[in-house]
Amino acid sequence: MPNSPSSKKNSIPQKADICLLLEGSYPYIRGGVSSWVHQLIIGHPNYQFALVFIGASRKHYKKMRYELPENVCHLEKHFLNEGLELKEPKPYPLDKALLSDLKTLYQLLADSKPLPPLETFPRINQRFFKDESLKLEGFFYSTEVWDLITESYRKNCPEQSFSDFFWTVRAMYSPILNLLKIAKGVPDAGCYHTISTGYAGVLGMFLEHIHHRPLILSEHGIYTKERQIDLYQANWIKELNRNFKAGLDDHMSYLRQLWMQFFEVLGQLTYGASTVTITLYEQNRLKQIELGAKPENAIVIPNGVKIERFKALRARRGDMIPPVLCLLGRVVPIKDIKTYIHAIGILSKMIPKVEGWIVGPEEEDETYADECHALVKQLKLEQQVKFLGFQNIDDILPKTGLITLSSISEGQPLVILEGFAAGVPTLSTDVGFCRGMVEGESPKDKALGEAGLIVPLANPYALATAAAELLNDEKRWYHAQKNAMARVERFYSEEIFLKNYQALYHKVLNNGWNRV
Amino acid sequence: MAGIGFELKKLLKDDSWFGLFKTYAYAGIISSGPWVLSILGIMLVAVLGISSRSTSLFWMNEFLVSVTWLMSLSLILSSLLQLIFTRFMSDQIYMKNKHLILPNFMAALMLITVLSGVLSVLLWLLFFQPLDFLYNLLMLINFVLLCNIWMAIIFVAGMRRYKTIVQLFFVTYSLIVLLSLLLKSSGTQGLLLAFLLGHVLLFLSLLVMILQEFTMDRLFRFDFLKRKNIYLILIFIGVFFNLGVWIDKWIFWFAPSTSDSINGVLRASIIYDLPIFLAYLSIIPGMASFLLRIETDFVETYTTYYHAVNNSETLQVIEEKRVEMTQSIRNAYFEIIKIQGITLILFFVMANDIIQWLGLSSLYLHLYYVDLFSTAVLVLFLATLNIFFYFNLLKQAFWLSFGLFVLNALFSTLSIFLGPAFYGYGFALAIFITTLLGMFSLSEKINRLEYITFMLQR
Repeated sequence: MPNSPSSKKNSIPQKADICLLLEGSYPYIRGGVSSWVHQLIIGHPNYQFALVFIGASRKHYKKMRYELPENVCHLEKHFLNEGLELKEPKPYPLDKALLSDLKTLYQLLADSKPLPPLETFPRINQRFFKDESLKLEGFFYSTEVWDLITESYRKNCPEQSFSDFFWTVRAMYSPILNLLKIAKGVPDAGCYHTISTGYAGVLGMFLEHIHHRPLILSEHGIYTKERQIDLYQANWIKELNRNFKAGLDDHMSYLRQLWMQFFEVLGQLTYGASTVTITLYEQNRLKQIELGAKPENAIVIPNGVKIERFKALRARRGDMIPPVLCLLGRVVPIKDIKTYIHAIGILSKMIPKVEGWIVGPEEEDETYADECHALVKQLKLEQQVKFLGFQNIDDILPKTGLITLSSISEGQPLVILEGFAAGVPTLSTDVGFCRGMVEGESPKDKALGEAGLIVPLANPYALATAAAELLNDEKRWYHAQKNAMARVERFYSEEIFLKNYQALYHKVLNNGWNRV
Repeated sequence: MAGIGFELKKLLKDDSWFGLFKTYAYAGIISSGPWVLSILGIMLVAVLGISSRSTSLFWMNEFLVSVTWLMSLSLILSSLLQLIFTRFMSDQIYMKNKHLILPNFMAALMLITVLSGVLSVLLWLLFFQPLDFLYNLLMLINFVLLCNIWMAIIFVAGMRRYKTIVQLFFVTYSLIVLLSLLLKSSGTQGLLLAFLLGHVLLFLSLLVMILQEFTMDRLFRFDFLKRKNIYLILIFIGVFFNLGVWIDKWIFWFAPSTSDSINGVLRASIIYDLPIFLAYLSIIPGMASFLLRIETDFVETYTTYYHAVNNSETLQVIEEKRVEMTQSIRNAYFEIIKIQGITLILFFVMANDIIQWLGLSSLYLHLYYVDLFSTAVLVLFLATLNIFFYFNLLKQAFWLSFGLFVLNALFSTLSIFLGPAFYGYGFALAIFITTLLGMFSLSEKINRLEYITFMLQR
C-alpha cells in the first residue's frame, strides 16, 4: 500500500489525544498555516499529536520542511491522485438501493439544502462505513453511475464538452471515495482537529462519524472563498462562447459553477460535523456562519506570536528608519506581487533610495514568479526590487521599514504580528484581518491607535503614497511603531493564543462531544 | 493559505487521455492473413510445378504435404510472438519511440529463430530420424525461415504496406514456380530447395523494406519482452486463432479413417485437404473489399469519433459520430456479404468444372460447396476480429478465436464419427456460430461505446 502510515521514529503506536488533519500544508509546505500548526503542537507538550497529511500528488510533497516536535506520535500522508487501487476496468454492478440513496443525497446537495445527519441514510451508513467489502469499482465502472452522469449532463449542460464534464465529475467524487478509504485507516484519537474545510474537512467528517469523536475546525482563511477566487482565475475550465454572453452568471460556465458548489458543499459538510468552529477574527466567523457553520459553535481565537523572541530584534534596529518595504510571503498571484512591484516603481520617484524586498519561496507558481521577474526588468527596478528567496526573518525584520502586504486575500497574517513585535509597522491592503490588526478591533484596542496604514487592494498608487506618508514622516512612523508593539503585546501574544487553545482542547477532550 | 484545491482535476485529465491510436497499427494484421496468400502460392506451385496431374494421388505428393505442414506449424509457432510484437510496435509509435522498434524487431527475429530452431531439431531427433538427411535439413531451414517471414510480414503489414506484400508474394511465387520447373527432376528435395530460395528472396526484400523505414542505434533490444509491455491476452488470441483455423485439418490428418501416411512421418487427408484449400482461394475478393472498406471509410469515421470524444464535443455530437461509425461498419459488412456472396455463387456454379479440370472425383463436389460457404463466413469472422482490435476489445477477440478453436475441434471430431457426408460441416458450423456470436457481441459493445470509452478506462 503506497499510503501506508509511516510512524515517526518507529515509536510504539499510542493513541493520540489530538489528530490533526492537514491539507497541503504542515509539515511539507512552509507558510503561515504550517508555522501556526508547528507553534500549536509545541505549545501543547502535555498532549500527543497524530498528523494526517493529505496532498494531491506525491511529487509536490517530497521533503519535510519542519522537524516534528517530540509530542508528535504518528504521521501518515495520503495523496488523492493515487491510492484508490482500482481493479481492472470491467462493468462492476452497483447496489440499486445504495444508488437511490446516493441520488437523494446528490439531489439535496444540488439544491443546496442542509443535509440531514448521515444516520438518516441507513444504507449509506451501513455500506460505506461498516461494510469492509465495499467495492469502490462500482462507482467508477458501473453502468448505473454512467447513467447518472449522462442524465445529469443532459439535464444541466448538454452544450458543454462532454469529456470536460465527465472528468470534472470524476475529479469531484473520486477524491471523496479516496478520503473514505483513508478515513477507515486513520487511528482513533481523543479528538480530530482539521485545519481547513475542503478535503481535510471531509476527512474530519468521516472520522467523526466512524469514531464518534469530536471534530474541531480551525480555519485561517475561508477555504470555500479561497477556492472561489482560484476558480475565477482558473484558465483550465473552458468557457463557452465567452464573448457572446452577458452577465456574471451567464459568463460563468456550468463547470465553474459546479466546482464552486462542490467546494461549498465540502464546507457545509465540515461545518455540519464539527463540534466547534474557530476562526481568527470576527469577520471570518460571520463568513463561516454564512457558509453553514452553527453560530453557537463558532468562536474566534486570534493568532499570537512569541513576544520575547521578537523583542530582542528591536535592539538590532539602526537609528534611521530603513526605506525598505518588505513583503514576506510566497510569490503567488493571491499575494498580488505585481501591484507591489508597481508600487515600488511609483515610490522610487518619491523616495529614490527606497527598496522592495520580496522574501519568500518562488517555486509554487513558477509562471507567476517569472512574470514578476519580467515586470521588474520591464520597469527597470532591478536596483530597487530584490527577490531574496527564503531568509531568516531575524535578519530581515531589523532592516525593514514597513512590513508590506499587497495581497488580495489574507487571514490573519503572522508576519504582521511578528513585525509588530519586532517594532515594524505594517502597510497592508484591506483584506482579512489586516485592518483589525493595524487599526484595532475592540474599542480598547482601537484606543491604542494606528500601527501602520491600510490601503485599497490592487492600487499601486495608493500603496506608494501611503508608504511615502509613513517613511517621510518620522514622527508618525515612530508613533505607529509604539502602537504596534503595544497592540501585539496586549492582544496577540503566543501566551494568550495557547491559553485559548489549551482551554478548548481541555473542554473538548473531557466533555466528549457535548457543548463546548 | 495552502490547500490542494483542484490540482486534482488537471492531473486526472492528463492521465485519462484515451490511448485510441495505440490499437490502431496492429488492427489490420490478422486480416492480411499471410496464410491465405501462402495457400495460394502452394496451389500455384502444385498446379504448375508438378507435371503429372492425372490422378488425385498427385495431391498426396510429398512436397505439397511437407509444405502444408511447414505452413501450419510455422504459423502457429510465430503466432506466439506476432500480436504482442505488433502491439509493442504500435505502442512505441504512439509514444514516439520509433528508434526502439527495429532493435526489438531484430531481437524478436532472433528469438523466433531460436525457438523454431530448437523445436525443429527436437522434432528431427524424435520423429524424422528415419527420413533422408537432405530432406530433413531443407525442412528445418524452410521452417525457421517461414517463422521469420511471418514475423516480417506482420511488421510490414503494420506499416500498412499491403500492396507491396501482395506484389512481393507474386514475385516470390513466380520465382518458386520457375525454380521448381528447373529443379523438379530432383524430386521433393529439389522442390523444397526452390521453395527455400524463393522465400529467401521474400525475406530479404521484406528486411530491406523494414530497414528503409526504421533506424537502429544497436542491434538487439528486448524491451518487447518486458512484463509491462506484454499483453498476455494477445498471445492467446494469436495462438487460438491460428489453432482454430488449422485444428480441423490436423484432426483429419490424424484420424485413421480419413488420412494416410505420406512419408512415414507426415500425414495428409486426401478427402479433406484439397477442397478446403481450393475453397480458400475464393476468399480473395471478399478480403480485398473488406480491407478497402476498413482502411478507408471505417478508419475515417473511427478517427472522427475519437476526435469528438477527445476534443471537447458534446455528448450529442459524440453519439452522432458513433452512429456514423456504426453505419460505416455496417456498410463494410454489407460490402463483404455482397462481394463474397457473388464470388460464392460464381464458384458454386463453376465448382463442377473446377473439380473436373483438376482431375478430381466428383465425390469432392459436396465438400467443396460446404467449404466455399465456410471460407465466405471466414471473411466476416476476420472482419469482426479486426474491428474488435480497433476498439481494443481484446477479451471479445480472445473469446472469438478461442471459440473458433474449441468448436472447430469439437465439431470436426464429431463429423468424422458421423461419416463422410458430414465432413466439412464441423468447420462450417464452428465458423458460422462464432462469427454470429462475434457480430452480436460487437453490435452490443458499439451500442454502448461511450460507456466503454469513458467509464472502462484506467
